[in-house]
Amino acid sequence: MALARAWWMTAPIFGLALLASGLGAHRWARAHVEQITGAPPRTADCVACHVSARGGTVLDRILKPRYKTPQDLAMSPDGSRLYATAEDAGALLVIDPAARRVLAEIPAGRRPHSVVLDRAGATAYVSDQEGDAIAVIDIARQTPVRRLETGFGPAGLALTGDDDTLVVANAMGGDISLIDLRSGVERARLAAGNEPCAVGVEPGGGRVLVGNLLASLSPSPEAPPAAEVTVVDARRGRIAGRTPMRGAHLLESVTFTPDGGLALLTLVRPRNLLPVLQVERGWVMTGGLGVIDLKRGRTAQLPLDDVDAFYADPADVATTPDGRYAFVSHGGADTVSAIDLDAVRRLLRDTRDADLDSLADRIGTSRRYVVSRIAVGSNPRGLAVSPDGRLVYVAERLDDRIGIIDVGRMQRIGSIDLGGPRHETIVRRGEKIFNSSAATLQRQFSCRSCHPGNHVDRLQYDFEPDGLGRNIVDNRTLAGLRDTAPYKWNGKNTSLYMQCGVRFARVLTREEPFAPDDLNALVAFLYSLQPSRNRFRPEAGGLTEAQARGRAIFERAAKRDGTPILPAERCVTCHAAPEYTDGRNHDVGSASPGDSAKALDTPQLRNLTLTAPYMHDGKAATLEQIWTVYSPDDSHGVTSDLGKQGLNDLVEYLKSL
Amino acid sequence: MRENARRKRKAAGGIGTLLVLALACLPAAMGAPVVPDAPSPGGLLERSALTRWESFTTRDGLPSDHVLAVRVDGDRVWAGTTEGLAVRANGRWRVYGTADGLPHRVVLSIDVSPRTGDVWVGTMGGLARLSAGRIDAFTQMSSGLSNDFVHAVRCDPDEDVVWAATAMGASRLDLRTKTWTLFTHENTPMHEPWTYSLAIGGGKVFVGAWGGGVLEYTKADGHWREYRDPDGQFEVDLLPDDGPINDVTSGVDHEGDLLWQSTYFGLTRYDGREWRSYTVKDSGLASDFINFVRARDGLAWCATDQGLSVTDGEGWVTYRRGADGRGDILFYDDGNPVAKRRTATALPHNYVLGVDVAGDDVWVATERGVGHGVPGGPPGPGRPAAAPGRTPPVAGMPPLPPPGNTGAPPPGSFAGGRFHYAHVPDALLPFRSTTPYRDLFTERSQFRGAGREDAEPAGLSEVRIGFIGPLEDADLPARPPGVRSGARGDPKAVLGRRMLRAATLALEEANAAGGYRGIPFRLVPRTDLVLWGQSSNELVHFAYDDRVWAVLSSIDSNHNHVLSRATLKLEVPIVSAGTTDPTLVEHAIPWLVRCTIDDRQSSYVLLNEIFERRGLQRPAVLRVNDRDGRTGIIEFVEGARRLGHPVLIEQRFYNGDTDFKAQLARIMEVAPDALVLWGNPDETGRAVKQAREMGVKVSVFGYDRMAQKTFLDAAGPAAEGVTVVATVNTDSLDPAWLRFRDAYRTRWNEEPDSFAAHAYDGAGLILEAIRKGGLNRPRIRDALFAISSWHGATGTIAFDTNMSDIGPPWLATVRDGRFHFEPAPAWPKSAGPARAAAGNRRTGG
Repeated sequence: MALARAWWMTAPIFGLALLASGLGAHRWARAHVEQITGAPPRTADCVACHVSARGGTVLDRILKPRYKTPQDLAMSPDGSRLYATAEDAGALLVIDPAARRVLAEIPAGRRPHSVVLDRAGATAYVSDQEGDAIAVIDIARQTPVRRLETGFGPAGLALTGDDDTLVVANAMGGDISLIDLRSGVERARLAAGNEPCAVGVEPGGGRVLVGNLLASLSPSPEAPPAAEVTVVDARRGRIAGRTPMRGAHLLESVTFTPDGGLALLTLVRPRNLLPVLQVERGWVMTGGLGVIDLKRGRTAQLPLDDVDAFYADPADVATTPDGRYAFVSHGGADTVSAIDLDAVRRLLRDTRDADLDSLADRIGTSRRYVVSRIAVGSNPRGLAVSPDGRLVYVAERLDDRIGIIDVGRMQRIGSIDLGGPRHETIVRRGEKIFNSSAATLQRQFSCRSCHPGNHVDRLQYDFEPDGLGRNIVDNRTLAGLRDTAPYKWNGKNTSLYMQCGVRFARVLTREEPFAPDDLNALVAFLYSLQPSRNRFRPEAGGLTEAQARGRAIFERAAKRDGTPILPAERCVTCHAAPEYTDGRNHDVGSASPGDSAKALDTPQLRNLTLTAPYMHDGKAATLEQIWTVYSPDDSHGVTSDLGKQGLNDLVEYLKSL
Repeated sequence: MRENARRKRKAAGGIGTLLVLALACLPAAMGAPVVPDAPSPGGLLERSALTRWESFTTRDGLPSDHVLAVRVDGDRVWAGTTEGLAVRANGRWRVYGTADGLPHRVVLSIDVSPRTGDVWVGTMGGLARLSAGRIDAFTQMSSGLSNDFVHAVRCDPDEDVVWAATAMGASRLDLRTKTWTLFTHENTPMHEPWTYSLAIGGGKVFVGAWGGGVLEYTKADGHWREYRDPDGQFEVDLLPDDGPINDVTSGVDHEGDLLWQSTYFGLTRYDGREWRSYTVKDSGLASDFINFVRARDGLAWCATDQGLSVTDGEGWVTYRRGADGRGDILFYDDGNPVAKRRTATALPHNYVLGVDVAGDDVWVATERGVGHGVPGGPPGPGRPAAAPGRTPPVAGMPPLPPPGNTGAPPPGSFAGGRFHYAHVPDALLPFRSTTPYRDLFTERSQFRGAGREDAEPAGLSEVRIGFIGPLEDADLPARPPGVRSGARGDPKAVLGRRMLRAATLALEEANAAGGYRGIPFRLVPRTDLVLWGQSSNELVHFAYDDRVWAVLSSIDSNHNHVLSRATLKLEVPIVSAGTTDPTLVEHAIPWLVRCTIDDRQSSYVLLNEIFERRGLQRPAVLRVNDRDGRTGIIEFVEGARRLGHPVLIEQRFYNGDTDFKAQLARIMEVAPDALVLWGNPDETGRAVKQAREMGVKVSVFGYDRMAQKTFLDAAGPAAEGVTVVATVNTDSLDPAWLRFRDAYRTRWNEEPDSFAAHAYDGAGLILEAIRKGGLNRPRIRDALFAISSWHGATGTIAFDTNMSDIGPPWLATVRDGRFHFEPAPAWPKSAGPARAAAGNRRTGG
C-alpha cells in the first residue's frame, strides 16, 4: 500500500523526466547539474537539489511528510503511561506501554523538546523550543491548559522537589528560567553556560544541575573546549556553582543516581585542534559519561567507547530505581549502553584525586563498567525506565518507534509503533545518514557530532593535513545553507556534492565515500534545513529603531562625513540579501599567519547570535570584535567612522537577520 | 520653619536672598512663636554612633590598601581595590584579579543583583559579571558597552537589566536579549556624555553626569528629564536649596522618595518637590568634596576626602580619624556642632571613597584599607531642646576645619566683597548685583588622600612621563594591540606632532643635565585619536602599564575632561598644555594643571578690545561646531551680554568645511560691526577670505588657534587687520622663548608654534615637580600645585586657584601679512554696562 502510494505521488516526476528526456532536455540537465554541483551528474538527482528549504510546495509535502520523531520520554509514576515528545508532529504522545500503542496526541507547540511530569503524574510540562514557551498539559483532559513564557529556545526542564518551581534551560538564550508554578511567573533568569540543554534535579530537591551543550567561549583559542555544568540553587534562585567539564562538550543529558550520590552526564570529548587525519588513531572524538560526586566535590569523565569500536553521540542517560545500572543511548550508533554503576563507584573510589582526569582518555577502561551494548532502532535519544526497573524505553527517533529493552536480558524485546508515515522519503533517509556514524572509520562520529541540532558545535577544527595549527577553521552552521554555495571557508566546493564527496571521505571519515544514493539523500536533507526563528526580529514585523539605523549603516554608500564608500567596501555588497552572501571569496584582512588562503568565502549571516565565535577561524568571540579588533584599517567594510552607537546599531541589525 | 530659619542664617544679600529674609521674618512679625522642629524619634542623633572600628588592609589579605568601592552582600563584603576585587566571607578575604578573568585590575564600582545574586563589577577596563565564580567580561571592544572606564554599575531590582555609567555615556544591558542601549548627549538631554554614578528606584533610573547634573530616566515611557544647577555658573553657588548644588555630580542614590546628589561642592537632597543643599558652611558635612553617597534606611552616608558623614537631613554625624589613630565623632544639629566623642578606634583613613550599610554595620572604602564600623556605647546626643536660633557650640569642640590649602597662596582677588575667580573683571562678574551664597574656587584644591608616605621605587632605569595628544601612526612607536586609529588627517595632528617634539626636546635637555638623579627621563607617547573616548583607557595604560609619574596632555577638550575624571581615581598628575576649554579645571579635582591661557581669559581680552577700546556694539560669532568651539565661545557670549552688547547671531561650521558663504550671508543680515571667529586656522582663514570677497568689511577677531601661519596662508591678503588673542608672542625677545625657539629649530628643523611652546613649558613644569617631589605621584602633585607662577618659553605662567594659567595674553593683529603682537591691554576699571546681568545661565552650544 505504501509503495503504491509513493509510486502515485512520484509518478508525475518520473513522467516529467521521461518527457524531458524525450524532448532532448536530458543533455541540458546533465550540463546544468555539472555546472551547479561541480560533480558528475551520476551522483546528483533533481530531487536532492529541488527540495525547497522553505517548505510548502507539493514536492515538499511529498518528500517531507509529518513524521513523529520522538525526542524525549517520561514515565508516569505508576508506569502505566509513557509520554514522548514528537518533535516533527508538534505534539506530546500519550502511550500505553503495556498495550504498546499510542493513546493520544496532544498539541504541544511548534517543536517540542523535553517533557517532565509532576509527582502525581497529573500534569506534563513540555518545552517548545521554537515557541519559547512551556506547554502545560492536563493529563486527565489530554489538553494543554496553560502556556508559560520562557527564554529563547527552551530545551531541558525539571521540577524541583516540591513541584513548585520549574527549571528550564533556555538553549538559545544561554540562560535558565526559574518559573513559579503557582503564579506562573518567572521568578529568576540566571546566566548559564553556552546553550544550556539538560536539567537534572538532585533527589530530595536540593541542587539542580544544568548541562550546557556547547563549550564556553574561551579567550584562548588553544585551550581545549570545556562545557559548563551549571549548579542551581532553585530555592534561593541563585547559581550555586559552575563546574567546567574540561575537554568535553555536548552535555545533552543529566540525571542523578537514586541515592543522589552521583550526577551522570552524557558528553563528547572532541580533539578539534588535532589534525583530523588522526581519525585513524581514534583521537578525534570520543563519547563519555561525566560523573560528579557533589558531596565530595569530585568530577570524572569516563569513556563509553571501546578500543576499536566507538559509540557516537551519547544522547540520554537514565538509571534504574535500584541504582544498579545506568543506560546511555548513542544516537549515532543505534545502540544503548548498559553501565554497572557499582563498578563506576568502585573505580572512583580506587582512583586518587590526582588521577581522576586521566580516566577520560583511557578508552579501554569502559570494559570495566559497560556491561552490555544493546542494538536498537535508528538514532536513539530519550530514555525512560519503568518504575520496577525491569524495562527501559528508548525513543528510536528516526524510526518513529519506542524501543523496549529488557533489563534482565539486556536485549531489545520489542517496540511501540508511534504511527508515523510508513514510507521513507529521501530527506528522511538523508537525516538517518546524517545522524549515523556508520560512514566513519570505526563509527567514531556522525555528521551530527559536529553539527548538533543540525546546526553547529561552534568549535574550530584543524582539517587540512598540513601540519599542526595551520588553516584552522571555524565550524559553520548547516541551517539555511542551501543557497549559500560555495562551501568550505576557502570556497573550493561549489556544491554539497563536492563538500561531502570523495575528498570528504579521504580526509574526514576515512571510510568509503557515500554511495551515490546516500549522497543524494544526505544533500536533500541538508538542503531541507532551515534556520531557527530569529528572536531579535520584532514579532509585529519591521525593525526596531536600532535595527533600522543599523540597516542604514549596512547598506550605506557614504561615510558619516559624506565621503563615498566604494561598492566593494560596503557591507551589503558582499553580504547581499536574501542569503547575505555573494558566494565569492574576499580578502578582508582576516587571514592568520597559518592560513594558506587570504581570500575567504563570504559567510551567510542568518541567526548570527547562534554561531559565535566569528570569522573563518573563530578568532572573534563577539560581533563587535570583528571590527574593533580585526579590521583596524577598514579592511572588512568601512566602520571606523562609526561612533560606538553606530557600531551597536550595526550589530543589532546583524542580530536580526 | 526650620528651612526658613536656616535660610535666614544663610541669606546675605541680593533680591532672591532678601525675599527669603522677608519670608523668614514674616512669622515673627505676625507674632507667631518661632519654635524648632521637635526631634524625630529614632532620628540620627538619637541613635548609637559607630564607636568601634576595625580595619582591613593587605596584612589581612586585601590585594591593595587603596580601596575604591565597597558593597555588602548578606554575610559577604566585596571590596574593589586598585589590585583587584576582594570578597570577605567566613572571616577571610578572597581575591579575584585579571588572571581570573577580571577585565582590569582596578575596580571602581560594585553592585549585587537582587534578582540573581550575581556580582557586577565596574573596572577601569570594562564591566564584569561574577557569577558563582565565573567572570564574564564586557568591554567596549567586545560588547556594546559604551566605554571601558566604568565609574558605576547598578542592577535593576525589577527587571533583568544592568546599567553602567561610563566615561562616554550610560549603557544599559538587557540580560535577556543581550541587547545594549547607550545613552549619551546625542539621544538624551545629557549636557555631556561623561556619566559618573547611578541610582535606581521608584520606577526611575538616575544618572549622575559630570558637568550635566542629574538625569532622570522613567523606565515606563523612556522619558528623560534633566536636573541642573539653576545658576548655571560653576564658580558660584548663587542660592542654597535652589536645585542641584553643582552640575559636576560625583554620586547619586535614591531611597524612598528621596534623591541624593553628591558633588565636590556639597550634597543635595530632592524629595520630588523641593531641593535642599548641604555644605560645610551650613551642615555637619566633613567636607564639600564628596566622592560617593549611599542612601540607606533614611540616612545618607557621604564618603568625603575628610572623613565619613551621615545625615538624616537635619542632624549630622561625622567620623574622622585623628593623627593619633583614634576616632572623633562629631555631632551636629541643623548645622551646629552639639557634641563630640572620642573613640579608641577609627576609620582606616579619612579619604573615603565608598560606603555601604547593612543594618547597624557600616563598611567604608578608604585609601588605606576597608573599614568596618559598628555601633556601641551610649546613643548620640539627641537633639538639643535649644531656644530658637543658633545652638551654642559645645565647649571645647573645634568647628570643622574648612578645606585647607597647604600649597602656595592662591592668586585671585577679593574686591568689593566678591571673589574674582580667574581675575574676572568687575564688569563681567556673574550675578554681580548680588552676593552669591557661596563663591567657589576661592582656594586651591587639595588632595587629602594617602601615598605621600610611599618610598621611591628602587632600581629604576628610566623615569617615564606620559604624553597624550592627537598623534597619528607616524608619531607613535606602535599602535597598541586592538586599538583602532580613529582618524586620518586630523587637523590637530600637526599640532600634536609639534607638541610631542617640544616635549621630547624638554626631556632631552633634562637628560643632558643629568636626568633625575642620574636616571634618564623618557617620554611615553599615546594618542587620543582613538575611537569612542578611549583616552581614559590610555590614561589607565599610562598609570598601570607604562608606570608614568605624570602625564602631559594636549589639545582636545573632551579628552582632557575624560582624563581629569579618570585621574581622580588613578591619581596621576596631569599637565594640560593645549586645551583652552574654560570648564576643564572647574571641578576641584586636585590632580590637573593647565599651563596655557584658556578661552575665558581670551574672551576677556576680546571683550575689552571689541567693546571698550574700539567701541563696537554689534558682535556676531562664527565658530566650529564641536565641543572646543562650543565651550570656547561661552565666556565671550556671556560677557557680551553682561556688557550690554549681546551676540546678534551665532553661526557654526564643521572642521574640514571650505565654503562659509551661507553662514556669512546669514551673519550679514543682522548688520554686525564685529565678527568673532573660533576655529582651526585653515577653516577660519578661508572664512575670512570669503567674507572679504563677499564685501564684508566688519572688524574680524579670533582666538588663539588662529594665531598660526596656516591662518595667514588660508586667508591671504584678507587677513589684514584681523586681531586675535595669542597665548604666545612668537616675536618675543624673551631669552626663554629665543632659547626654546632656537633649540627646537635645531632639533626638529622646523619653526615652533604656540602649541609646541606650551608643551615645552608643560614638560618643564612636570620635570620641575618631579625634581622637587621625587618619584611619588602625590608629592609630584603637591609640587605642581605649589607653583604659583613659572617663566618659560611662553612667557609668564600665572596659576589661579584652579591651577589654570591666567596670563598675561597677547593681542596679535595682522599687518603686512604677519602678526604683530602687543600685550593685552588692561581692562579699564570703569568698564561695564549700565544694566545688571540677569539670568546668566549658560546656553551651551
